[in-house]
Amino acid sequence: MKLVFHYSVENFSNTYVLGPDNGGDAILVDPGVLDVRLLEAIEDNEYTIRWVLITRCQPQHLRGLRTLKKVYDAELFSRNDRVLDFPCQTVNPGTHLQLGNFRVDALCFPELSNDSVAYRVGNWVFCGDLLSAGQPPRTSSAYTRANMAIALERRFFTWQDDTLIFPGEGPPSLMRGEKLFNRVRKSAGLEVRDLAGLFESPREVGPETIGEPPHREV
Amino acid sequence: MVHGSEFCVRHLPDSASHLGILSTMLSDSRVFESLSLNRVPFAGQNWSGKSFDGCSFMGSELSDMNLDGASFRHCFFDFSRWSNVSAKGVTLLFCSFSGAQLKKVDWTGSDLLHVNFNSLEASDCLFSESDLYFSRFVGAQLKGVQFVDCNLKKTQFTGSRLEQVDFRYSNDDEAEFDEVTRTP
Repeated sequence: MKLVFHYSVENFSNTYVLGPDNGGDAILVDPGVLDVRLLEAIEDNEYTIRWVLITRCQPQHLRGLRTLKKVYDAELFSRNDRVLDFPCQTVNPGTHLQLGNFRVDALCFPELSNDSVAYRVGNWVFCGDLLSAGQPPRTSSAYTRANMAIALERRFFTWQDDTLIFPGEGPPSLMRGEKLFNRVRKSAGLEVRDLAGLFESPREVGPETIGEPPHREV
Repeated sequence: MVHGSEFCVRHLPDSASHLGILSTMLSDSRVFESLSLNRVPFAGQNWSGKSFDGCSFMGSELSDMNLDGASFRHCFFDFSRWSNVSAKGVTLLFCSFSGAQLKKVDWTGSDLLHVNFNSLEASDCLFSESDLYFSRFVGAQLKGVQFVDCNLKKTQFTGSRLEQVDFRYSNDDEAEFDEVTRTP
């Protein structure tokens, strides 16, 4: 499994392409842009975009969708049944998708917005706006922020430490690092609740279990 | 797991010979993809000009190394420890160093783009003349670190503790310094 990373200078957002090692049908996460560089990367890897996963129906995640649909006959997945007038497969909480050889688990976070989804493929998570390395999600009120902190605590930070996090904005991260250092936990007073062991001996917690990292980027 | 093995390095029946094989592999080739080198101790190696794509060095120790001109894309160095490393003119793209410890590391003239340095502990390090666009030092502890003549556009130092950190000639007005503790 290979990962292509593309950064949109226009949107300050990340787009990811996930495909087999030797080319073939691929998944694109968040078509924030489809420019020549991304297209070249897709073609260089001999990928055909068959599926598009949308973490949130916001412009920074969708601006390249119309162009992409002109090039590839891709199936769309999001929380909404239509995105930019294109029909879309609706993703519900706990949905498991089998896209070719990829098993994709979807996790919805209505606490952030009714169209917010995180997708997990193996030990990689594409979390969109849920959080960004070290930073909590952008929210409109303290109430939403508090709700999000609880939701992340119950349904996101429960995942394995070796999970690699690919956010919609900013650099990548490791679940263990986010559990220890993300400000959403600190602001909610949660950061040390069940992590005392990790603080005492962070280097003893199983990097040997860490899965294969992604490779390739644009 | 150590790359090519069923074991993590400390549980290998003959870890010394396995590390020797890894060392030979790393010195013989120039381009590496998808290597898993977690918790491996590296000392005195010359990776100058080599290219690493999608490799994992989590929890590893790098000491007395030469990484000048090397390229790391999509690599994970979380909770690694670096000391006495020359990394001038390095390209780091979309990498993660969260919880890492750096001591006497020279990144002068490097492209450190989209890099996660959250909760980094760095002392006596040089980032001067580097491009740190969109990198993050959230909750980092930096002591005696130089960011002279750097591009700090969209670089975040939120919640960091900065002691004797030098930002001369850098566009630090374009960086974010929320809740930062500074000691001159």
